Amino acid sequence: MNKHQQAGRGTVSVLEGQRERRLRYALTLLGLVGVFIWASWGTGFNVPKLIGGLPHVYRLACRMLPPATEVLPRLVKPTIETIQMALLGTVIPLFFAIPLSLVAALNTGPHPAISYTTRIVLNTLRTVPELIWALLLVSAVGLGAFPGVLALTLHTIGGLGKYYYEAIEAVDPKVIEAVEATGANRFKVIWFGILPTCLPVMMSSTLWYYEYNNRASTILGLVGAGGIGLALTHAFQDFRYTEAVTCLIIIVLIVTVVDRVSAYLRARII
Amino acid sequence: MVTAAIAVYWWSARGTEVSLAEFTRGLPAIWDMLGHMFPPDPSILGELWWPMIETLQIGILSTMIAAIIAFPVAFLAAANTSPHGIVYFSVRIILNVFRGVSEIIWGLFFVVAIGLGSFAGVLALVVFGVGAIGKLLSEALESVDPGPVEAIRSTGASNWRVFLYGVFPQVIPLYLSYCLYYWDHNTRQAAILGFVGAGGIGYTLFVSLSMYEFEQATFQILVMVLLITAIDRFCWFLRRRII
Amino acid sequence: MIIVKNLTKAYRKNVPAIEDVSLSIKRGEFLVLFGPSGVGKSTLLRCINYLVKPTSGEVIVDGQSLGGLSKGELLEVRLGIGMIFQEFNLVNRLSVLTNVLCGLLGKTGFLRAFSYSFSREDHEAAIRALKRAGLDDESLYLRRPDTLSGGQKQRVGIARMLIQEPKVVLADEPIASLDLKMKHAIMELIANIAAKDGITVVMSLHNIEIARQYASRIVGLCQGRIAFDGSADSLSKDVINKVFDLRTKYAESGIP
Repeated sequence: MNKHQQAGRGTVSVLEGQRERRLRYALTLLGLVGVFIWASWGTGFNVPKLIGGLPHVYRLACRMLPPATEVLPRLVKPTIETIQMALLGTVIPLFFAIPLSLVAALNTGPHPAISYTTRIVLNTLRTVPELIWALLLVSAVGLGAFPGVLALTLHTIGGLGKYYYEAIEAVDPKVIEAVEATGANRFKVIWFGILPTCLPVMMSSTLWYYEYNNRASTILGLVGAGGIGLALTHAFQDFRYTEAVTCLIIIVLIVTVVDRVSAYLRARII
Repeated sequence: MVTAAIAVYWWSARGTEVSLAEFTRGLPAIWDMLGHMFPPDPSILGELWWPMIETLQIGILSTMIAAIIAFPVAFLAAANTSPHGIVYFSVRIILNVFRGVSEIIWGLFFVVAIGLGSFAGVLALVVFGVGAIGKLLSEALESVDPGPVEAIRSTGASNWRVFLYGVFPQVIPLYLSYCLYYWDHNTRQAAILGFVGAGGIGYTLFVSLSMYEFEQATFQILVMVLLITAIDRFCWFLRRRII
Repeated sequence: MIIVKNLTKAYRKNVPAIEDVSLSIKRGEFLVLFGPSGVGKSTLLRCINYLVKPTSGEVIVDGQSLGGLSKGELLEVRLGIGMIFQEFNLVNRLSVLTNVLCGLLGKTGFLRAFSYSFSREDHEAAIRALKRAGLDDESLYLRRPDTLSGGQKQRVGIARMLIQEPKVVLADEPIASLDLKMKHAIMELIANIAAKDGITVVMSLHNIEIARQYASRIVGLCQGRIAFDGSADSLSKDVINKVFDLRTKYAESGIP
């Protein structure tokens, strides 16, 4: 068989394989376009509306500048409150998340049924948006930073608990075996074998959650849970836009600073 | 260092009035509230279908739009593909602003600017999404393996072809991964955006709470949790199929 | 065919990777650039197709001085120069077949390239190239390269080079990442293709036995300068020592 015939036979099967793949890609693309159109229709999104809305956005942006500096002294307390909320909201959960995660992990838990139940609890805690926790708690105990801290705590116990138990389950069983072989009891195996191995991942997750909580604490004020979010909401409601933008800038600063600090700590500790 | 940590902790506790006393005082109020919240009242289910779908749509649409816009933007924000230093720096700053401000605040901004409804919600999530996905994608573009890129350049391909065949295929898995992650995240945020009036289940929840209908609120929260968890699982499934 | 005049490339000021290199390579020669790692072989190779722009000096390929060419003209010259690499440099997300088709990107039309669809003739050429490179198993063609062995990957790289129908092939340590048996198989393949198609080969190697076996001419580099230039037979132990001797600051250019 000459070269062309050889190539010809191969080409047919190869081209068919390619065609099949191409068809699948095309269908997926078509499906996505369909979903896009459906979602646009439902949310009332279309390009003319977008273009029509732009001048409004521009006007609002103009009314927000230049940022009001005279309100800065008034904002010091809420800012500090926000930072404190985030700190507490990350530290307090540690006391609960670590034991809960040990229960929820299949390799350290007392019984699979208990582990799974714990997991459901943790999942619910973290899936309910912290803003809603905050709203509920504000309705219960009133305005202020206290419900905010509580809300973050609940949400974080769920979130950190999940990361922790995943880390615990990911520990190489050989490490556990090695510690057990020395005759250590259950508690010692956990303390000396498992926890030290998970420590880097756990610290990394905790730092990440601190960054997350920091962002969250800035907006909890929206529902009255204290901090600078409250000042922001008031400013918007009273049409004091320049003040609102000052709050926004402070929020961005808080988030940026904490992100940097967190990155530094991450490099130092892990 | 431990003493520093304790000091910070104590200072925070004072500042936010968090203490055991406060907690014990608040506990009966919370218990009382729980009593009002249970059992959850499913009677509101009929009214929830549309907002649920709306929440889903906001999540999907905003992720799609953000994903489409984020790609060319990431191209401009990556050191190895950006056309000019000035472009690189300005785009990076803009992206940082977009993602530095929380989506909820963007939601507030857009509601004030163009009115209530899911449109504002979509815009808010798109702005944040472009910032978040754009930054991640630009970092992915910068860490592409230069070997294959060099190989394709050596065949005499022009810059665009080098990008399409050398750079682009390398970032696709990460790109899809980020898009899926943000879809998950956006659905969750879409649920809350209703609070600031941007449509979806968040809004009905807000209304219920304002009218002190706590049992209905509890039910809605349950529905919200189910919805978010469902999307979460779906994303995990898709992730394994595609990547 | 290829003339290199007083080529110097310094990545950082005052630290030249190659310094004042002059070479004249005839059509059909099998030239091996020989020397330890880091001595400038890769840089020299990449200057020949201007993937790396020299700091000073001239590179003339087939009568054209690369420095004076426009962007489009340079791309055309590159189309006639194939290149294979130590780490194979295949695109892992694209199929083996598409990787080979990348060799045609220098002359594929706009629409076709952008929609990732090549013509039937292109596909046939790719399959022919793959078979010639020794990859007969067609079930591999639509798979991704990361499932292939090292030897198979390099064959794909060679196929990508073949489809360009080049006049010159630059090879940057093409066998360094392969096991012993594969080393010889791939060298045989390259040597046979070069001999059959009359291709000029410029290859960098640090393995002296293989260099001696296949090269028609060996150029030894030491610290960025030419230390030896002659046939494989005249490569004595003394010269090898000199080339590998890092204490020698400047080697004498020996052109017999």
